[in-house]
Amino acid sequence: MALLQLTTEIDPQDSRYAIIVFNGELDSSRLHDAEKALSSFIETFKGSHLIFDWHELAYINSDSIGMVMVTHTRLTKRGIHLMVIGARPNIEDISEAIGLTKIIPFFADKAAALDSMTA
Amino acid sequence: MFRKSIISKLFFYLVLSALLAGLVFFGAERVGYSYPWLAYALLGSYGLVTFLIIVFLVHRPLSKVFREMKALLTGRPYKRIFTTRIDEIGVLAHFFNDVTQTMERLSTQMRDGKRMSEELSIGSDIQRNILPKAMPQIPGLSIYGKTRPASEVGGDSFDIISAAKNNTLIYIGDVTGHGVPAGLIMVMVNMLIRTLSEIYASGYDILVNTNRLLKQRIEQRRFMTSVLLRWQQTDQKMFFTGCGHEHILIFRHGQSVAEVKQTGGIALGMVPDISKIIHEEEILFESGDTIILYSDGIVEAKNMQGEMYGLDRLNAVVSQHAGASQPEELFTLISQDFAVFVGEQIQNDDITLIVIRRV
Repeated sequence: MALLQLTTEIDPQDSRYAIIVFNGELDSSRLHDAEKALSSFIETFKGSHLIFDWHELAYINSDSIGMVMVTHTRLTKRGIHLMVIGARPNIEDISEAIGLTKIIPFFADKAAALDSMTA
Repeated sequence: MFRKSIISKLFFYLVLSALLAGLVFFGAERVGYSYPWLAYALLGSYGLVTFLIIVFLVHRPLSKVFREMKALLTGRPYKRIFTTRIDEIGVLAHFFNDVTQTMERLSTQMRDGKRMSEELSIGSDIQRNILPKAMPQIPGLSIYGKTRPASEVGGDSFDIISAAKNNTLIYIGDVTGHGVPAGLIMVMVNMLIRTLSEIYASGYDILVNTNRLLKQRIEQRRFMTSVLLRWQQTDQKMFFTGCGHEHILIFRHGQSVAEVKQTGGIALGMVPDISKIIHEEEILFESGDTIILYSDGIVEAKNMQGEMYGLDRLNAVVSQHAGASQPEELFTLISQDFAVFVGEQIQNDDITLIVIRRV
């Protein structure tokens, strides 16, 4: 069973955004822990943009996409924008198929996401 | 020390009463009373005290414990034994109380489990009754489909509905997760689509309004992917409206590989208004062509080595057999291939497969 690790990257020069890096597989068995970790980070997050880095995310199931939607709604209520970067083709496919990409912007990499913040 | 052991307690009381009797006897002798009856009276009193100590200290409490134990073992009503003793009899009484308390708790849990199991079974029956029991005869089409939930109640759904204006609707839906919460949403959506199909003619209107009504009633993390086919019998045309569901496989008669078509749109329940996101589109569907609708439980099923069944494998089976197979036959061939692939792996998600062939 592949593990899921969530790590946070904060740019000391730019407090507008934070990056949460997903490493592993996000399925129902890891959903609860992932949601708990995300919630505790989001509660204290003061920036305007939160970026999910999915470069190392190998799999996501539909339950977990539901959790991403919940996170998106919570952030939107606080005026925070959620973005996704580096989704692998299989992840982008499922996100696109379900319609997640119509709600949350997906970017190829961090630079593209940061560009969109200044645009 | 004396509170913790009956033997110590008995020893203490017996020595104490012997000392008292001795004191009285020798005291009486010192002051000049030396009659044999005094010795007999004291000996008799000592015996009586000993008897009473044994009766009240040992026999009666032990009988009470044994009476309740006997009641428990013979299935008669029993009572808890209230005691403040901490000696062997106290330990026995506390042990009895603990055992009976645990048994009562287990019995309650078993009753609750049985009730929940019965309720799940009823839920499962209700859901089964919602699904088509037999494949309807639709002029121009031959259809075969089934769903298999991962637990008693599932989140997958499909239906074949004779709707207004000579339309037949065929839809497949997959709620996030499985089990009771997913099953309740599945039932809700099924009812909404059936009801709305009596009001609206197009798949677009049905799904836009299904989403509008559904979104107000489900929690944020829940949604349902769906694709709805509309067969227009008069014009013999097939249309589809996608709501974030898996691809549609279309095997065209005379071709060697099935076409993989994205359903597009957005899953039901994700946003309040999907009217600008989804659309109804015509599919070229000629005689001998076959459409396959499926849920992600098929393509995401893993075998013992952890490999996914995948869309490519499904497509390969469809492409190999769809040309010469009727829907039920093709359904069986796909099911067999799927079963061989997953082997003994436990089914983790609901699975649904529908095969539609243009006659």
